[in-house]
Amino acid sequence: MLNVSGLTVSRSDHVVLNDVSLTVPDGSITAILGPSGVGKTTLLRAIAGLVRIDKGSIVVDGVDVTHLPTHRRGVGLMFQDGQLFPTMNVAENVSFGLRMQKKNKIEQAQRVHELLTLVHLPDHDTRDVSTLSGGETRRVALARALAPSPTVLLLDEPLTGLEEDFRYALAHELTEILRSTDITVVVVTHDHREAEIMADSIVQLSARGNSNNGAVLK
Amino acid sequence: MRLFSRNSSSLEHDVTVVFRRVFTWLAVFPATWFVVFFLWPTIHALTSLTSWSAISDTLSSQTTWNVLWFTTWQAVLSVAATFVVAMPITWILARFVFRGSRWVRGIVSTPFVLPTVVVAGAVMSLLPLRYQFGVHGIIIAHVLFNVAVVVRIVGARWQTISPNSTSAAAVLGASPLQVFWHVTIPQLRGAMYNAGLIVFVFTFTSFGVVAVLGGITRRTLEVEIYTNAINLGFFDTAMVLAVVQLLAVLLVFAITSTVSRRQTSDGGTTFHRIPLHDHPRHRLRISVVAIATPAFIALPFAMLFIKSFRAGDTWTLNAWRNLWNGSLDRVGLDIPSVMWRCLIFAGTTVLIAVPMAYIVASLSVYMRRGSAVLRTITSLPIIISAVTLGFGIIVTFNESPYDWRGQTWLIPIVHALVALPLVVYLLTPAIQAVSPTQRDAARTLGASPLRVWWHIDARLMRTPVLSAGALSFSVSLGEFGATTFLSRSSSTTLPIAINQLLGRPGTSLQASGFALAALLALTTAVVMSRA
Repeated sequence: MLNVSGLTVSRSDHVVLNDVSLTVPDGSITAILGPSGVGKTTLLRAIAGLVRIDKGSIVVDGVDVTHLPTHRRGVGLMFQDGQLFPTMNVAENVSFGLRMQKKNKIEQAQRVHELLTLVHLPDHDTRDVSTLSGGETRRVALARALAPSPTVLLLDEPLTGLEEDFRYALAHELTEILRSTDITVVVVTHDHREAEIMADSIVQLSARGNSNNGAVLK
Repeated sequence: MRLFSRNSSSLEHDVTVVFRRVFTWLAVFPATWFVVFFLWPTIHALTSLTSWSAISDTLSSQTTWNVLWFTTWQAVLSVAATFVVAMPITWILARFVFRGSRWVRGIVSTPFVLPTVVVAGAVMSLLPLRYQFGVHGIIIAHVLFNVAVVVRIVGARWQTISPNSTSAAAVLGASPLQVFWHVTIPQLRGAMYNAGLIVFVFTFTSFGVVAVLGGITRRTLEVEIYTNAINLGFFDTAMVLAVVQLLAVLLVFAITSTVSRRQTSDGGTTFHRIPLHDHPRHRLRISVVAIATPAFIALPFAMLFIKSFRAGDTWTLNAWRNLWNGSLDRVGLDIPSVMWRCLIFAGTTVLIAVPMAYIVASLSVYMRRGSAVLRTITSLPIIISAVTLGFGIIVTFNESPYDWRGQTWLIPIVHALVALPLVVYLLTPAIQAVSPTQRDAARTLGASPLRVWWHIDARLMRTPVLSAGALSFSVSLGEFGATTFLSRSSSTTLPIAINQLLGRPGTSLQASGFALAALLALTTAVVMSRA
């Protein structure tokens, strides 16, 4: 379970998030919906420990991670454009988190194969990431984010930039993959339909910085 | 001359075709100058060696191998030390904005544009007497000089690495050190190879710094070439050493370019630097580096000024007064005349280098093919050292009617050759940036190609041309390597005068050397701030 309470984040001259609270139950997918610039990405980056927070707490599976550095939080983040490492091939990208966990080569190879199969790219392990299409990039990025088995996975606009038809098809596919892993997921999007496809519940982040939990009929 | 052909490719802007023809004709001037005063002397110097006994004697001499070994290891150590000092400040300047960041960038960049003898003089003023001559000073001077290379080349690449790329590694469990090692360094590797190569070549062919700080025991190949050619008159040995040095530099270029090609190319996007107060975790570390690095770089220059006002334990203006009151005549230096002469040399250098470089840069922009070859040829004065060029000139132009060795006019011509690659490098992107659409607009409004050039190109190029003038002026003021071969007592330049004063016994003369170096540093910094 992810529990965010009273989160306030400010930049040099303005408050980005003001007293935001959010609870995401175990194994569920929650979408955070809101217009551009409202602070959705900042919320995810704060949960991941990538931005300084002024107030509030972040608890993951009962552990207060508010003051832990990013790499010790056990929180995964899939970035908007994938952010695959250009100097590594597909398999090296996916196994990166496993190498940080000092898993041995056999475990790494097994997990990479398992995840690339899960995202329907089993033969892409030696591919240069610059040769991947937009959809393949997102799948590899998802596989990479899932590889270290994070407690909570954050997806930041995972389908932005893809064509509309393909985007919704891929949204269904990613949701299926995420459901099969039973992981707790927070997905940020500005697309209502994408949120409906992927999420069990939707949270609206308003321009005033408050969030209201809402449900969606699925 | 027909300027515009209707048969020209319809895809090309008509003015481009005209400009290409005009600059192709004008290229006769830089081509003649370059062939006569650069290619001919250097090729002559490197190929006229026919005495096999000189080759075998030089190559079997233990001194040669000792010098080659020292040249190599001091260059490797200089590269390593430069990266150790430069990488933290490069990271900070590439990633963060903070109060005073422009000052920090200015301070770390300044030594690179200063004459090598000034940097060497500054290091000498900092070190205790017993350490003034030796490898310590050489390495410190090389680091001061080359930090700017790493900041410029690696920093530009660092700014294209997405901050999200490092964040992605952090959320996958990588510690800051692991992020740096596994994600940042692989993306920086190509830029680091390039910067390392440039620093290596600069330090491997170092002359001014080693001539001032090496003393009698520490000599690089450059200094050894000079010693053999000028002090000992062993021209054959000097030729062999020049060939050995060129082969070594080319070997390093070949190895590094092979490795560098394997690295990923630079990304196109430059990411905005973030305000420091948005990054409180790094604030202390950043503050320490942002203060310590410029302090390390500025300290020797501050000491240079202080030492120029010191005589023993007292403060005095004597060293500065001695520059003007004729008391240095006893060591054969009339400083006001030297200064006046240097200004004339520098002004003449500007008048030669800027038009020649403008023609070369324009041609490289407008020509359909072969621009890479042209750029490589005009970069040769960087690869082939100034000492080799100076040496080539004295062994080539040594017979009537071409016995020009002692001719004063040769000095600004050679200074302009040394400045050429830098000025071409500065002007080329500025010429590329002139919009063809603006020229088209002027054409549709009735402007002839000449008027297009005058009203569009010439106006947009005004600032880059002024910068090019300042750059070539500074190069001339500080040029030391080739000038040592060409100058006579009647054509001494400021760097040569500084070297003479710093190398003579007596604190009074040394203080005047520091004063003159401080004056040259100030002049160069002011001129370069215009660039």
